[in-house]
Amino acid sequence: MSKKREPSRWVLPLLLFMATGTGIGVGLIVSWVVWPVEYVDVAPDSLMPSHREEVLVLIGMSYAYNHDLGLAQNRLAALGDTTGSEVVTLAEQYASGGNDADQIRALTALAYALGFRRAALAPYMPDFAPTATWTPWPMPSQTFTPPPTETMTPSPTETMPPTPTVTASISLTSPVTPSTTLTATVSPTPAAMPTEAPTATPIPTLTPAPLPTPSPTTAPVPVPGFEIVKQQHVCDSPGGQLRVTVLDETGRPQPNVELLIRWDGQDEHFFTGLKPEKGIGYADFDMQKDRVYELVIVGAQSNVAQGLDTGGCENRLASWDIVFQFNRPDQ
Amino acid sequence: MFGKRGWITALTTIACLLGGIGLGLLVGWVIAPVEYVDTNLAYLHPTYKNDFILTVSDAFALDGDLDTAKARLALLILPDPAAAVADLAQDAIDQQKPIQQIQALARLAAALGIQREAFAPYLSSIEENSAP
Repeated sequence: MSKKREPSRWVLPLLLFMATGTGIGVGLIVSWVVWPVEYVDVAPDSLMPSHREEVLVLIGMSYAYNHDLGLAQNRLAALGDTTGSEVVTLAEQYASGGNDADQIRALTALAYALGFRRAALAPYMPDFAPTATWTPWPMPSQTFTPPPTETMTPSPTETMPPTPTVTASISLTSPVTPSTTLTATVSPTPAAMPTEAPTATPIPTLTPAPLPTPSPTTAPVPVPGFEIVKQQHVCDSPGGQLRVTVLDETGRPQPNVELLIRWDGQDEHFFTGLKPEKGIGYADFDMQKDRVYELVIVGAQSNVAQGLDTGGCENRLASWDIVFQFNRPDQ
Repeated sequence: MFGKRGWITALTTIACLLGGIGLGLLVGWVIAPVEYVDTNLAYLHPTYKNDFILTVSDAFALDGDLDTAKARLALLILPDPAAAVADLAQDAIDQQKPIQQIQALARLAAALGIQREAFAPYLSSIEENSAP
């Protein structure tokens, strides 16, 4: 009598497990390879890098054509760039790579409109180009005296057309909260006395314009730039902090703005927006004792915040709250 | 051929196989479908394609580079790029979009060889503005 061999009790579960596994594998192959999901109406944020770059350039050129910043921002948002950082990155990349100048200018204009300031892009943005020679930062040992404002009144027998000459000078706007504005003052110089019959011609008093561009032959013209709207000395904990906020002309905080801080012949660069929890237009810097700092925005016309030191507080280092705001004077 | 037990085993196996296929399809199509992260401009939603054409026309209005404009339109893989531009220009006229936008589209359409009567006022205004 032959003994019927009983099948192992593990055969059935093993068989079922293999069947299930095989089924899953077949299903995945079909859904991932044979008939994958096809996206036919995609949004721009999923574009390949080369096409994405093309779209960025076109957004910049479109802005350069129609100056519609809201539209440009909506287009950037569709790309997934809500801050415009890709625009400034691409502009810098193109500038260093020597790409088409029109495209660089278009991208730079959009980057500046979005609040980005980069020294490398300044040559492509005429409104914000630095002057031919940067006004040197005054050292703490210098004494600054504001130049006199002169009013020329002609005598009844002479006409004195002014021949303005421009001298750059620093004027202290407030002795309590020192901050300086780089200004150019125009001092009329009397011309040679005429020999014809005289005509008394009143000459207006020339007053310095805000943030002018010094030029030996032209009168200063107000240019857009960053002004210090707040420079406050505070005694709080932990102390020794320089807290900076940069705003655009509408009061919106601006990220990725480059700041330059100088002291004792040394300097350091830092950027807004690296601590978004404190605001995208915020940046801070740790000050050291017995140093006097000066602060300015790089790549744009800017006030210089001066006299920033850590003294004046009991038992701790002082801190400073500085707010820069972009101002575009009416022309 | 099969005993009762054999049939149960076979049916159970087939059920597991089908269940596995279903599970695989569920994962591949619904739970974790293939994600396209490097898509092509040609796959853009029509709204975004139209906006792309708009930006190409603005760039052309700025630099007058027709070859580059054509190359950019070619990325959309449209059956008739010139007609697409002209249709967009016509829509802009009908919807009374800003004149600058209409001019840019009309100018590009004309440069691509499509002349329509409706574009004439916008093209002539460009010529008047550019006349010395």
